[in-house]
Amino acid sequence: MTSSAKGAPAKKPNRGPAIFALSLMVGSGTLCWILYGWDTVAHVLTEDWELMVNVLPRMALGVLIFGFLTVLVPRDWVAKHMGREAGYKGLMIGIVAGAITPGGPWVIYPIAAMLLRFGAEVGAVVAFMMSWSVLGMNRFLVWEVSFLGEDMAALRLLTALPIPIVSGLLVRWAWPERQWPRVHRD
Amino acid sequence: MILVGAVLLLGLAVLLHPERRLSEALGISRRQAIFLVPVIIPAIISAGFVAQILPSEEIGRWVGPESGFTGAMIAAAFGALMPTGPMLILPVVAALLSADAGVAQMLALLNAWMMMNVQRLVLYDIPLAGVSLTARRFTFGMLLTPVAALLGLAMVG
Repeated sequence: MTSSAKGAPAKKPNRGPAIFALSLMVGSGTLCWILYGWDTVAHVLTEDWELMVNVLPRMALGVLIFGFLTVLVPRDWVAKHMGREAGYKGLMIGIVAGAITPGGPWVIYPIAAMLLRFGAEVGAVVAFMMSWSVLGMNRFLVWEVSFLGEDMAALRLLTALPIPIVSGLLVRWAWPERQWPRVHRD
Repeated sequence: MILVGAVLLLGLAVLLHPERRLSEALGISRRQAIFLVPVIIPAIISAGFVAQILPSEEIGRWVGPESGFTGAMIAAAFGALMPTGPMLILPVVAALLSADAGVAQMLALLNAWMMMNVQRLVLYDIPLAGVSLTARRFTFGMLLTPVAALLGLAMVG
């Protein structure tokens, strides 16, 4: 598939993840067939189909959100408010943004990579990713509350509350990026 | 529904932005989609197979309310190895809870699944966020999983 990026030098598409996912599918499918036989494979595939019908529209929306955010988020603002000089404010912005940004990993991880390229400090970006992982409000309200009930879901959230803050601080303290601002390579 | 709202709001914001064009944003989205589709579809299919292969019931016996910190760590390891995607893990956790798994142990499972899920790591973290961010996130995810588990054990009592 050819990318039609104007102006930018043609970027070689990264096929590694797709090849990995395909191998995983073939491998796990074969194992399932050996262990349980064809009927189970067919049954799993029917369930997968339902899952896909569920996930693909969300993913399409997520991809749109990523595109819109990329053009809307101002680079200068990110560098100033989430950069090295921003201190705790950068971490807090990352945590709040991570908790409220809707969408799956296909939205959040590209945004994280984008923030890093725009000049955000790596601790703030890790706090953003962690916050999405453990405090994501969309998943909490839609999935956790409905499957676990309010009490259990709230308890889960409480145990996870310190994680984004602590991990952001730990990254900043123990594993900062040597080179900053980061050189835009792709 | 939250997603639809976000798309509409952000799309409107791009339209109204004086210096940005919608076609620019849609181009970025299109390239992202071309990259994602061949990853996501096999990933979803594999998730179903992996869930089928994992011995959920046997694991349930290891993580009862009396299993303490060890049980929480077993549950956390299970959470790390579970397929990614809330539509797969939450039904499993709900089933384990009704099969007498411990509450604190299930909290550890969910937190570990969120912080250090291996499938998400290979399928999404590395390709989409890059190695530098992934390495940091995963390292501290591993370190903080026991901390969150202890907090859960303290809260549930």
